Amino acid sequence: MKKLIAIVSVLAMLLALFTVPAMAEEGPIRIGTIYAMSGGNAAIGENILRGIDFAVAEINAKGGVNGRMLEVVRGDHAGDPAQGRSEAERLITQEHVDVMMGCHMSVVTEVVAQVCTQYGVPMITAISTLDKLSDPDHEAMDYFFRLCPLNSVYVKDMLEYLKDSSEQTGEEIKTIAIFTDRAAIGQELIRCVELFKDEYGFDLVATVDYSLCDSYIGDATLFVQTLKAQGFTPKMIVAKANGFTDPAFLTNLGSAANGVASVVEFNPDLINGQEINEAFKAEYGVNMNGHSAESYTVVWVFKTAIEAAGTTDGAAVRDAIAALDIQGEFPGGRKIVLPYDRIKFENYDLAGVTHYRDNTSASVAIAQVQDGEWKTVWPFSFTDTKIVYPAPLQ
Amino acid sequence: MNNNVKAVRAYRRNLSIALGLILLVFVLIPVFVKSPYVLNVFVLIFYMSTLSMAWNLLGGMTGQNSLGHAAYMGLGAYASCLLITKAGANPWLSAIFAMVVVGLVAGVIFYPCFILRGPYFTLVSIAFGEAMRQFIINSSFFGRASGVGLPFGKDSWLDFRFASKVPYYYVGLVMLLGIYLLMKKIERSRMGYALRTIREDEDAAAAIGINPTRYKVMAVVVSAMVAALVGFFYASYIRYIDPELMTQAKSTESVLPAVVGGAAYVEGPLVGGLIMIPLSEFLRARFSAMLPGINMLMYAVVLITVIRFRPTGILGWYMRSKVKEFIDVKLLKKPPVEVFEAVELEKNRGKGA
Repeated sequence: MKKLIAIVSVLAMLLALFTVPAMAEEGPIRIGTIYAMSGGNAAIGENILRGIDFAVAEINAKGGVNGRMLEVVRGDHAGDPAQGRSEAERLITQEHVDVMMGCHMSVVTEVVAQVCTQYGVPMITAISTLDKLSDPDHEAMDYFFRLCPLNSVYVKDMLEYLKDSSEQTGEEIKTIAIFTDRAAIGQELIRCVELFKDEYGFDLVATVDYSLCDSYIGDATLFVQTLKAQGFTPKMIVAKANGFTDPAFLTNLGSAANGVASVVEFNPDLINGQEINEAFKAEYGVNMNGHSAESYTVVWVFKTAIEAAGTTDGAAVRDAIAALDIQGEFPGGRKIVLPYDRIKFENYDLAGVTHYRDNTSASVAIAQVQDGEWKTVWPFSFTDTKIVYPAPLQ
Repeated sequence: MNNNVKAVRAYRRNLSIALGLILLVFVLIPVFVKSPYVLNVFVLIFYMSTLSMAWNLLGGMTGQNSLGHAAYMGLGAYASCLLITKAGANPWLSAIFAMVVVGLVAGVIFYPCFILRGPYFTLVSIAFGEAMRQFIINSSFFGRASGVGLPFGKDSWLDFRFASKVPYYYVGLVMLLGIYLLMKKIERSRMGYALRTIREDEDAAAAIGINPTRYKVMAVVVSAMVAALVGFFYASYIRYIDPELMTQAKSTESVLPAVVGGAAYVEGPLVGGLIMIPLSEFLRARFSAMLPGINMLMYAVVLITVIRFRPTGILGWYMRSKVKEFIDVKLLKKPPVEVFEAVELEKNRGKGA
């Protein structure tokens, strides 16, 4: 019996050793990242992490932040909210990250943002677009900021493009139809078009939603192939990224894709993105995509905020992010590489609902497939390429 | 009083002290362990083991391999979340509601399915899980693919909402113990014997007056209700649910602790959960950043190794091992079987007179 007591008390003491040592304002500044690195979404996670690594290398080469180097600590959520929560807690309490970036799926972002707010760790999402992450239910989630445009801004920009296009095509667009999937992203598209269509004076003539067949890329390919097979050629097709901006889209369809336009967060031919894309391509052998460009930018936002705060203290960095107003370029000379020229996190009114801590200047660009390549065609001030109209689809 | 009775009593006392000490360690862990991450791993162990116990009632005790337990858990989570967010109900009441609803759904759907045997039941359970998931993805009442979140707010026992892990730890522990005692009770009851008889030979069971369909439906209802309870706990803990909760992979996760621990034993899921969940967390924390996905590969290797070399699970091996012999004889002073028999005989003779 005594032996048993001894064994149990040793076990109890071992467990007590799990307690946490204190943090310090020295050594590298640690950026926690929580993305899918395994499972079906690992490819997306890879692009994001490349953007982060690229920015970190660039900043460290110039002497780091407040004299300290940046270091990336990676977590893997594998697409699961429970695992995201687990990883957030591990990165914060075991790895002592100073700031957090994530995630790819908005559901996981929501859970991770809650954990970050609870521990007072500033978090910026580079790519989570679901509107409700910043709606009034999340007012108290005050350590969480969003750089990328909201879903509704994506849709608003698509409508804006359709309206602006008359400037180049000479023909005004009056009617639109929606074709989308029944998953969260597709449902958001329908909701947003209905929200803004009257503002732009469009007549919504049909809404078709269907269960995603197989994958976004599979569906995008089938969609264009079927249009061709049926001999139907709408004058304009504007896609909301996903399968359409997958590299395999152009390979699958060849010239059949000519004329299809899509939302892009970044494109290599953007006027302020060309230089960075060259450097990125030299490093990784692929073009920078929207996800890499946005996560690249978030690292720069953190750098600027931590320098402004003069410390990595969570509350101070949060206040610095909230006070940030970057116009055109970051201090130190790096231009904003995305299709907008200001970064400022604000509370604002969106279609009658207050939203919190979003980058209100964020917008997307529209690119069109021309001669088998994505060419930026909108906003007009960020490109020299003109819209091809009507879409040839051949 | 003779020595035999004394020996048996001493053994029982030692056994309860040992179990009490183990329980005490678990009760004291949050006092010593301050790291929320480590506590989180324990909370994971508690609810995953409970879910696995629910599976084990069907898979282990009754021999009906279900691969749809994530659907019961997901339905339970949805039922309680929707009751809280749409009707403003108290979370604790919503837990009861979720259990009743999911129990009913499981009973009604599976009643006709028990005409099917063996792999056909498994196939139906897979189809059930996927059908439920698709139903939720396509229903705006359930929030479609975007899921449902529980409201934020101050710590409150009434709303079962805390910033700290400690309350979740204790509630999870109580849930685990409660369900364990329930399973132990079922195992020793008439129902337990009936279920095991059905597992061994359904026709023989029917021949000796056990109604297999009745008992199988009872098992599926209890199992689904426990899974729904876990769903409620999960939703209150993670505070956000979406249909991904009900995927096939999640159902498989609920089977693993039982199979690794030993599906023939009520304790199997506990042992399996205590080993596999920390292992999975450790592998991810240690290796996933080096080479993404390598942690899952290593997890799979461990899993295959256990199943290949210990097909009856860790408990199946332990029950015949020298370790058990050492603990029983040296630490707990367990008397030989004959002594137990003698005491039993003595008792019965006493009753007779």
